[in-house]
Amino acid sequence: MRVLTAAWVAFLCASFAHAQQTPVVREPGVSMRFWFVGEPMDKVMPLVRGQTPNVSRVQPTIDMKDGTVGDFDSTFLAHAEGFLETGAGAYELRLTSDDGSILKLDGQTVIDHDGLHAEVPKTAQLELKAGLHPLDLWFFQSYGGWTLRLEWKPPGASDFVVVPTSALSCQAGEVRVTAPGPKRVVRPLSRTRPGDGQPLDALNPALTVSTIRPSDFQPRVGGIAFFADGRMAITTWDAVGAVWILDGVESGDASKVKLKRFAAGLAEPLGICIVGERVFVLQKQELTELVDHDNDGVADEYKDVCSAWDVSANFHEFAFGLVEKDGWLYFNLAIAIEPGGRSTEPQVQGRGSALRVKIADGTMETVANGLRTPNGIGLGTNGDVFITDNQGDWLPSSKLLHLDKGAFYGSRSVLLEKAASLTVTPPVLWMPQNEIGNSPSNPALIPAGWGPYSGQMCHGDVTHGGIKRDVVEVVDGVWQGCIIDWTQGLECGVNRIVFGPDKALYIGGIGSTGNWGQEGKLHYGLQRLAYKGPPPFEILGMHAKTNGFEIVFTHPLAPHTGWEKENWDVQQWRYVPTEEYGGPKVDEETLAVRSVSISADRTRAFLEVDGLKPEHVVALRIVGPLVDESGAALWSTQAWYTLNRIPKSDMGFHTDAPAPAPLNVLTEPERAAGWKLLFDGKSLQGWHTYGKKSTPTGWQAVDGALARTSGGGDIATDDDYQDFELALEWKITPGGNSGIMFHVDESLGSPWESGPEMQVLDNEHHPDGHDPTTSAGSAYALYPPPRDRTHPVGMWNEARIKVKGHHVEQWLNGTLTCEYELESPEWKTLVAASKFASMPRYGQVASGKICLQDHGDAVAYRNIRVRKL
Amino acid sequence: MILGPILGPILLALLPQQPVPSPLLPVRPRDPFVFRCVLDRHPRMITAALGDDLWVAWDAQSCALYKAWQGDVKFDGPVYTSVHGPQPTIEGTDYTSGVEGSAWSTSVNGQPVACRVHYGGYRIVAGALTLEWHVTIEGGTEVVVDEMPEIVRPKELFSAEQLDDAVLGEGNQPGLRRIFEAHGLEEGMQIAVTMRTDNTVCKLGAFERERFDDVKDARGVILSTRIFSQLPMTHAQPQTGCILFFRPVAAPADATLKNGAK
Repeated sequence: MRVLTAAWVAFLCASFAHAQQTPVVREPGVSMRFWFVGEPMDKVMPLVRGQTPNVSRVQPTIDMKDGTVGDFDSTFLAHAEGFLETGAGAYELRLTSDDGSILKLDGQTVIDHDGLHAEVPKTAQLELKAGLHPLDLWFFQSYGGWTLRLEWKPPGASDFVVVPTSALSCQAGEVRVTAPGPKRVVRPLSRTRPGDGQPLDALNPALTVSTIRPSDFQPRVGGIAFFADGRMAITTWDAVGAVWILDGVESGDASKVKLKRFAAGLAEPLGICIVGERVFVLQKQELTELVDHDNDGVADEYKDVCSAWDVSANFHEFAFGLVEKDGWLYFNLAIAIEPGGRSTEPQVQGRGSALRVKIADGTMETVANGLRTPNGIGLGTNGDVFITDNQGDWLPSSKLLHLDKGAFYGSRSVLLEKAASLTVTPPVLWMPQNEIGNSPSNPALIPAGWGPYSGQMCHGDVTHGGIKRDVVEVVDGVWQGCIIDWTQGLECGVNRIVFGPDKALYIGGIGSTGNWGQEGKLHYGLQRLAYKGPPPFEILGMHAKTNGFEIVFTHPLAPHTGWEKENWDVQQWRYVPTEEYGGPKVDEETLAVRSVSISADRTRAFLEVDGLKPEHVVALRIVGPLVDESGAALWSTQAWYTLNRIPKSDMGFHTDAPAPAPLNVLTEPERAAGWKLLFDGKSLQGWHTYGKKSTPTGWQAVDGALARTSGGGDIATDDDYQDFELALEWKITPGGNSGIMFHVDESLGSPWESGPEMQVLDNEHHPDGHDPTTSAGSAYALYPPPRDRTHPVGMWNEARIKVKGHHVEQWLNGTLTCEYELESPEWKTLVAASKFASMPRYGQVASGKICLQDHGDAVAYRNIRVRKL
Repeated sequence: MILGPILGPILLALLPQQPVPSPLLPVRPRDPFVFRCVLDRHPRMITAALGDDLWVAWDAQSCALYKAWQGDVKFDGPVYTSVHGPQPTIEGTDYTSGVEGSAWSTSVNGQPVACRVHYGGYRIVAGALTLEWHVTIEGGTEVVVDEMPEIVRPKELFSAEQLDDAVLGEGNQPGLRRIFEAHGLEEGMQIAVTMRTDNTVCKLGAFERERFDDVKDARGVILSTRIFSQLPMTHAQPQTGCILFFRPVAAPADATLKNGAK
C-alpha cells in the first residue's frame, strides 16, 4: 500500500474538517429551557455555568401565560433558542413579558425589556434580510402571574400576531436532559467567585497548557493511547470514525506534530488501548484490533476480537473504554435511552455493564452491572479499575465507582424489578450535579512528577468542563473520598485524559447538542497539560475521621488563621435513587463545627464536626478569609466528601489555639506613622452620643470591643477630622445594619444628613444587601463595591477609610470597594438621584465628626485607630 | 442468463492473485469507502461504497450480504448531524438483498452437517476489501473464508459482441463481483454460500443447487421469482466466485447532491 504523501494527508485532513461541519438539522418551533432558581430576581440574571435545566422542550410558539412549568410557577429563568425565518423587509416585533425579558436576533439585542414589571409590551422595528436569524430570548419570573409572548407584524400586515410556528425552528433531535432542584444564578453582589461557589474558570497556576493539534484538525476525541515511543493514537467520534496517529506531541508545539490517519470507518470508537504494539479500539458493536501488516502506518486489517455483547440500533448504546489490566481489556456498555432522556423499556439484556475481554483468546466476561452512561474507565489508586457514570434515572448525581467483580451499581433500567433485591455498591464519590460535575469522563492516576498531586486520581468532565481531582481512601473496607475542582482553562469539554510516556497529561475534547459539551468551549480539541509547579494554595485532600474531617492544604496557612469556626461551612445530605431523572439533595443540613485544630506546620486542619452520618455527602466550603503565608487566597475553596462509612476509631488531631493577638494597642511603627487609638478597649472615652455631648448609652466596651448592646443612638468622636485615615474592625450580627460616617455636622438632626457613610451590613440577611449600592463596603446609596467582600457573619471585618481633600477611598478586608471624588460631577449626579438630594449639607462638611451608626442591631467595633493626613 | 461456459475463463482471470495496484481500482464515492455503523436499524453492519452506483452492506451478525443498492446512505445521528435518535439508513434502490436464514451451509462427505459462522473482520489491501468469515463445521474444524467483493462493469470485461450476446447493452451497469476463498477445508468437506441471483441481467459463476421461489399476490398471481444460488468451496477447489450484473434501477433524484464526493 502506498505511503501517504503530504498532499494526501492534507486532503484527508480537509475531508475530515469538512466532516466536522455538522449541518444544523432543524425542526419546527423553539427550544425552551427553564431553570428553577427558588429565589426572587429583579432582572434576567446569568446562571452559574454548567447547570442542567429543570424543564427542556420544543414548543411551537412563544406564547405563555401563568401556570406551572414542570412543578414551579415562580422564581425561574427561561431561555428560548432557535431561528426566526423571515423574508426581506421591515418587521415590527412585540415582546410582552411579566417579568423581564431580553430578545436578541442575529446576536444583537433588539428588545431589552428587562426588570421587574407587569405584563406590558415593548416593540422594535427591524429591517431584516431574507433568511434565518438566530433567535435568543431570556426571560425571568419572580413572583405572581407571568407572561411571555413574542409577536410580529410582517411587512404589509396591519396587526400583531404571535410569531407562527412556520417562522420558528430549532436544532432537531436534541437529547433534552433535565435535572430537578433549584439552580444558582450569579447575583451582582455575589459572595461567589470562580473556585468559590462557582466552577473554576482558569488554568491552575501549577500547570501549563498547549494545544497540540494543527488548527485545521478538529478531533472530537473518543479515545487516547500512547505507543511506548511516545506516538499518540486517538479515535474520533465523528462521521469518519478514525484513528489518527500523532508524532511529536511531547513537544507541546502543534507545528511540530505530524499527523497520519491510521484507520477509518469505525462505528463511534470511544476507546483505544495499545498493548505493546497492538492497537485495540472499541466500537459501538465490537472490540477490534487494527493491524498494520506492511508497516506503512495505515491499518490493513480490522480484526474482530470480540463482539459477544448484545447491541441494538439505539443511538445511546455506546461502548466506553478502553483499559488493559493483566491481559484483559475492560470497557463499559451504556443503556439505551429515548431522545427525551428516559431509559428505553425494555432494554437489551447485558447493557449497563462493565465487561472485560481476554486479549489472548477474545473471551468475554461481565464484571459488574447496574450502570447507565458510564463514559469513563481507567486505572487508578492501587492499579484498580475505576469507572464514572453519568446522572440519569436511578442516578441522582454522577459518580465515581470502584470496579468490583459482581457489583451492582444501582441502575435498574435493565434488570427492572429484579434489581430491587440487589445490594447496591456505593459510589466512591458522588459528584453533586452542576456543583462539581455533570458529565464525568475517564479517571486516571496522577503519576510521579506532579508535586503533591502525585498518587491522587483525576478525571475530566464534558459539560462541567476541566479536570477534577479524586482523593480516595478505604474506610471499613469501603471506598470513599473527596472530589476537588482542579483546573479549567481548556479549549474544550474533556472526554478523555491520559498521562503520556512523558508524564504530561493529554486531554481530548468532545461535545454535541443536548447539553453535552461545555458552554462557550469547542466541541473538539486536543491539548497537553504539564506540571510546572509550585501548586497554588488549595485543598490537597479531605479525609474522614471518627469525629470529623482532616483537611490538607498545599501551603501552610498564615499564622493565626483558620482557627475560627466561622471559616468552615459544612453541609450534609444524601441521595435517593429513583426512576426520575437525577434527584434532589435529601435531608440537607448544615453541620456544626465544634472545634478547629491546626497542625504545627499549619498545612492541616482538623474540623471536629457534630452530626455526621454515613452514606451521606459532606460538602466543605471555606467561607472565611483563609490565606497562606504569602497572603494568597485559596485557588478553590470547596471539597465534596462521600462519607459511605465513618471511621470507627480514627480520631482527628487536637491542638490548642494560639493566644490571640493583643487588641486595641498600637505598634511602634503605627505610632511613628501618626496613628492614635480611638478606643482603648475599656472605656468609651473620646466618644459621645450624637448631638448630646453626653457619654454614650447603649454602647459598651465588651471583650475589647466597642459594642452596641442596646438602643442609645449613634455615637460620634469628640474630635473633628478633615483629611484622615481611619482603620477599624467590625463584626455584625445576623441581619444586622450599622455604618461608619465621616465629615459629620453634629448640628443636624442625624449624622447621615451630612456625613457620607461606609455601609456595615450582613449582606446575606439584610434587604439592603441585595442592592450593591447599599451593601457592606458601599458608599451608602452612591457607590457599590465590586463584589461582596464581607467575611461570614460572626467574623471580624477590616475596614479602612481614607479622605484627602475631596478624594475618598473605602477598603474592606483588603479590597478597595469604593473610590470617589466629593463634589465631582459624577458624585453630584449620584447625590441628586439619591435620598440625599433633599439634604443640603450632605457631603458639604470639610471637617467633622466620625460617627458609628446605631441602626437598632447589635454591632461591635475594635482596633479603632485614626491618623490625620 | 448464465454465461458460465462462455465467460468462465474471464471470471477465473479476474481472481485476484496479487493486490491490484491502486490506479486500477474504481473511484470510491466515499472516504472511507468501508465503514461500520448502524444501518436500517441493524447495529453490526459493514458497508462498502464500491462504486458511484453500487453500495453493498453485510450484516456481521448474520454473516451475510444484506443489500446491494444504487444510492447512498442517509447519514443521520449524533456523529453525522448532531441529532440524537435516528441512525443511518439506506437511501436508494435495491439491486439485491440477502437470503433469509443462514447464507452458509456445510457438508462432509456429501452429508449435510451443521455449522456456526462468525464475522472475523475485514482487510483493506491495496485499496480493495476482503471480508473474513469464520465457519466452524460440526466436529470443530474452523475454516476461514475470505470474501473479496468488487465493482466491475461489463464493458471492462467483454467485447462488443459478447456484450450483445449477454444483452448487456453499452456495458455500463455495475456488476458485483464476489470472490470466495476458503482456508482450512479438509478432504471431503464442502462449504457453500447462498445468494440471491434474481434481478440480474446476467450472472456468471460456478453456481450450484439453484432454487426458485415464486412470490405471489393474494390471488396467486406470480409477481416475481426469487432465485437462490449456491457457490460451493471444497478442499480441491477452495476458490470460487461470481459476477452479478444487475438490471438497471432508477437512481435517487438527489443522489449526486447528497454525496459531495460524487
